[in-house]
Amino acid sequence: MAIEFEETNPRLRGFAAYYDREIAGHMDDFEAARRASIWRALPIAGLGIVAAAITGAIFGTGAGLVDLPWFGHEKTDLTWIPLVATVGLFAWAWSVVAKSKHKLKVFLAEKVCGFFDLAYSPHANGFPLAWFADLGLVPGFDRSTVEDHITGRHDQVSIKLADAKLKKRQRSGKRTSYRTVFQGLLCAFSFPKRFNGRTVIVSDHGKILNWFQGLAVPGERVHLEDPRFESAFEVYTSDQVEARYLLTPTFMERVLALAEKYRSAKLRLAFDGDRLLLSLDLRADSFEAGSVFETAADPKRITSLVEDISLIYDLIDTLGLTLKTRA
Amino acid sequence: MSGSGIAAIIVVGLVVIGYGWYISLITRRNRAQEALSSIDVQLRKRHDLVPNVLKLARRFMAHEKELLDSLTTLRSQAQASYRVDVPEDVAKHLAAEGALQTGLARLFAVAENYPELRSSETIITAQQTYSEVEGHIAAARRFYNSAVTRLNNAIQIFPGNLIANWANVRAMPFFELEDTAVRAPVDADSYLGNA
Repeated sequence: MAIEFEETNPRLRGFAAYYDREIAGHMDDFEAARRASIWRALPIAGLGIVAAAITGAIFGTGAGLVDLPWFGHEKTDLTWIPLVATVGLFAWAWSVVAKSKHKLKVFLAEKVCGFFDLAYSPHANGFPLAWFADLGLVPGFDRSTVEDHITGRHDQVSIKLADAKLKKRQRSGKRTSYRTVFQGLLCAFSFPKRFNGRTVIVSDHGKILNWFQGLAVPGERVHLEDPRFESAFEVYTSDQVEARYLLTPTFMERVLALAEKYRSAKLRLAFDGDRLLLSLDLRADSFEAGSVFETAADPKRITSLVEDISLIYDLIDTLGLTLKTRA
Repeated sequence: MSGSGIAAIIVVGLVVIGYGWYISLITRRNRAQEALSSIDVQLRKRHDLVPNVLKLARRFMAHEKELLDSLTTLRSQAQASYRVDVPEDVAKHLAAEGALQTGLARLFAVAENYPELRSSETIITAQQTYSEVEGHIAAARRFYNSAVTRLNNAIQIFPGNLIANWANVRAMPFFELEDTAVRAPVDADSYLGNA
């Protein structure tokens, strides 16, 4: 299947040819695997539907209450058996298609990242999530999933990022559930200035909430002279002078521009250990390769991956990290 | 409640407010002095850089003796000790530093006319270090000016003026730099040509 890309973005120049050379040839194999996985999953899902129907019928008729002699002829509820079977069969069917979906996603993400000279790994083992948590760049969480680890360089800027989903446990009565508190990108970039301290930039939430937020973020509050920046962000630092050395009026403008661009996302930044760390709560899963029910060569798979990776360059360009100036 | 009881409550209230304001004034003054000392830390880096730059410049810029000598003088004026609690002394110190910065900026501008000096690796490194040091000084200046704004606002807003007067807390001067590039007369010839 032929695919066309608009190469108006100079960074995507040559991508169509790269697609034809590196990706297109593999799509038939992935399409065959995708179809095969769906055919394998269908009978299992069919059994799941039967099990669900049995469960419904048992619930409706009360036939699940059975008189079992080895339980002293007391009525025992066995409705859970078809219920467990239903859940198990659907999970099995999903795992069959998910495997082929995952293989396709990893292939496409590796190839698209390869075009941008970036390395991709579906697992983010060793990604420093705790570093982001210590700096207050992500909210408190009890469960974490970190995947889609991307590393590389753009000009002189070293890039390391991952897609994270963080959940917080909450209790209501005896029930425990998990609420998503962060879903987005965690990035670590090298920065063109030298610094030793720690400076954290978080959203402004008004005086009272800022006070509580200040308890979770390390450092002392910084009062900056830009009123727009002050009303959008709160800055905490271990070194007042260094914070201003890093947050020049130009850089504050760039951070505001970035916040404006991703208005719906929550942006937090920190300078620590010679790196600029950034968390962007997009409330969406990034670096995904579309639905398993669409054809493998569906152009949307590639365009959404390209958009996600372009976002990394957008962050670097908007913050001016490749510039050699010390502004 | 009797009239004397109400009066006592009002007096206690006023004392509490006054004491709170006093604490805030002293905290802000100490903060401004802390910011001033952080400027001095950064300025010391500039002072350390000057002798090396001058030593190198003297080798190539024999015709700029007056400029080089004035820099030596400005450096010693900027290094003179001063009392951090006397606003006039602080203003004098900051003005001397401003003059030294202007002088150094002029030196690097004039150095552009000396290709041998301009291409010297030492002066390139010195210029990079200078620009980094100036970045830190600018940051320290912003910290200081922010602290001074907060102090001066607290002193000038009633009843801060009364409490400040009683506690002998005085407004501090801002660290303002003369922007020589802005103030220098425009050379119309460079725009219109010499015709």
